[in-house]
Amino acid sequence: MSAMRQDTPEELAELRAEVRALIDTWRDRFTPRADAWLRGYDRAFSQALGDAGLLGITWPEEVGGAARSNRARLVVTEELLRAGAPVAAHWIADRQIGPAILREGSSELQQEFLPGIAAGDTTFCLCMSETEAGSDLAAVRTRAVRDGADWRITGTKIWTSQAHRSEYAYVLARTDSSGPKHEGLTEFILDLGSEGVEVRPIYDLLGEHHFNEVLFEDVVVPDRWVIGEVGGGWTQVTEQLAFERGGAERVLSTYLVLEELITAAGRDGRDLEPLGRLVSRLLALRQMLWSIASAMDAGEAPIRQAAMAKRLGTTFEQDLAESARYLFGVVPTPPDTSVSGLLGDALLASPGFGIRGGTTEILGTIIAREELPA
Amino acid sequence: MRLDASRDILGEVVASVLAGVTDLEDPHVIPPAWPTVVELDWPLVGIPESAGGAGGTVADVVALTEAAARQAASVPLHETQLARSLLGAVGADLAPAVIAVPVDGRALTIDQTDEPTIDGEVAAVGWASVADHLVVAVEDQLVWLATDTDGVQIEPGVDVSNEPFDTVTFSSAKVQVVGDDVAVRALRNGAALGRAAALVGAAESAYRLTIDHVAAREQFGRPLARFQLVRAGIADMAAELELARGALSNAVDAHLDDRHIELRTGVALSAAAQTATLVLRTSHQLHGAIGVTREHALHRFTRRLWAWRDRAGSQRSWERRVGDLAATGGPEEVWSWFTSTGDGAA
Repeated sequence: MSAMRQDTPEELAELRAEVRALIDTWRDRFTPRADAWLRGYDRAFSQALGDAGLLGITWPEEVGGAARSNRARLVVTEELLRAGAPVAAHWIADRQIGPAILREGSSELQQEFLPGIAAGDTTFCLCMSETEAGSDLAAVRTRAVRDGADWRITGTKIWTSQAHRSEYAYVLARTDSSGPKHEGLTEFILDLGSEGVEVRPIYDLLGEHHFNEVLFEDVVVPDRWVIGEVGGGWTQVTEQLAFERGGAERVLSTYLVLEELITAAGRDGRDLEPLGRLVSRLLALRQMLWSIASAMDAGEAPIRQAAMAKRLGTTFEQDLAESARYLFGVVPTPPDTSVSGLLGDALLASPGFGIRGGTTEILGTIIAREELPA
Repeated sequence: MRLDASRDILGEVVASVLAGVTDLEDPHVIPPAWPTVVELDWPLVGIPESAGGAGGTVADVVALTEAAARQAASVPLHETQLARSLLGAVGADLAPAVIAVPVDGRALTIDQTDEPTIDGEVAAVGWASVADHLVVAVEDQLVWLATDTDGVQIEPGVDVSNEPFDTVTFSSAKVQVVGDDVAVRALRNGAALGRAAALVGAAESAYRLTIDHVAAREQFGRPLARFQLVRAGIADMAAELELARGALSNAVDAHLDDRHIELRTGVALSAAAQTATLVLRTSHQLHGAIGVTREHALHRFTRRLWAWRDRAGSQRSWERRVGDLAATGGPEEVWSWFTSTGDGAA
């Protein structure tokens, strides 16, 4: 494997300029919005990022990556988030499926999927949660049974964002029910075009369709699409979730609103104290994001810090939207690019911030476990 | 992360030297721990050896202040260090003097003649009653004077942690001008940085005591630490402390690199004060009744947290300053602050 590049500040500044320039050439083709990493979908934009070498940026060059640092990935993602750019097509694959395949998958599996993800061509959704397995993820009931050289998967997944537009799904399924529930889980890749897959829409409170219910009826999955160890799914998925928590999307989902507040305060000079409080919080959170990326670059697994960043960051995202209403007298309206429309968009998306990717309560549990003696 | 390196070097030393310090019996005499602190040259840390100092950087100063607060040590260490660093060569022969630094000189005036004098009253000054000297911000001038100068009157008081908290009145008191508006800003920024460090240090200790308490104390047949709502309180404090430590570290970098000092100091003070507020409420709540007794150590930290949040310019005034900088700078400027937060960031 090629050695990871330790990006210098100059190299990171160049990278940032490159990302901005690319976003600028696309500005007339997307509408900036809150929570765009879940809701803003444009495969062509993802492919443009892939062509520019901005996806899978931390992965080795042999699998289509750029062998750059996690700090470089932070630079790319925060510029995309600030712009409210349509990044949902690649976000999950770039953030967590690719890295999971890289950590746990065979070199054949890596070659089969990573170059396509890095190009923005191969899209993934996450089939983890089930109706009876939300925060209690180990309770999944979807079953995978060996069938010769293949597996057959049956079960129902829910809250699967963008499943209706994705080619592949990451699936957490039970391969052995004989032991404790944390054992006998396995991670699979599944082709959503396979026989026996049904995707049903779930409309969220904005009236939008990004969530789905995904039904598997005896869906055939080749054995080579097992990620890592059969039965090792719990350890692997826990690691996957820990790694994906500490990113900029846990702080910046409502950032467009803050920019409007800053502009308004510059105009009328009111409410500088609460604005300063928000900006202070924002900058302190960036220190955390930076420190998490740096720790990952040093080969550490900053699980505790990532849980803290998500818990604090998603609360900040919600506080920000509330401040716009209370302090600046913005009345939320249905989503558009006006201040009130941005606020409406942010507020209506905000309940999800503290739920997806590990609820605020689960994160508190993880933090307390780290802090308190056993 | 240069603060971490200083913490590693100085943290244990300070803990062992100041272990066992108690609250002041008489807040208006030199504190018992002060001679030891002076002997170790701590008030001279952060001042170049060429200027009569002990060397080291602002990272070491912050680490010392934070570690001293972790012991709830009542010593005018940061105030004296800050004054000495601003006096530079002028104050080279002052050790082992105590120097107080009234930060809020808004009500003071200076008469700038060949022999400048100052007038007015400044309240809420830590350590003035035991100080040998004062370094004061007056209008756009930084001035220095001995406390026994004619026309200086000090009304002793105490804050809720029983540290000296005095009112100083000047009537045509002769001063020496030692700096201009640049030095005045350095005084304000330095004082707030030290205050943020002290808040983080004391909050960490209140937090550690809470961890110990909930692990040991049993109710309903099990340790408090087994109750989910108790654990949520622990998680809240741990996360806030991590945030405040990071902001403090970032502010130290700003001082070392002379970049956005005022902004980063304001961020650190805001984070430290918010953390203090949360830790005050939650640590007491989780301690239950024992935490409000004189006998338990918790109050030594929480009384300091109550006393300190607004001591180097109020938390509100610093947040206003950050808001003002943001409103004036606009979204592009704020984004550039965001993306340059971190060590050696782009």
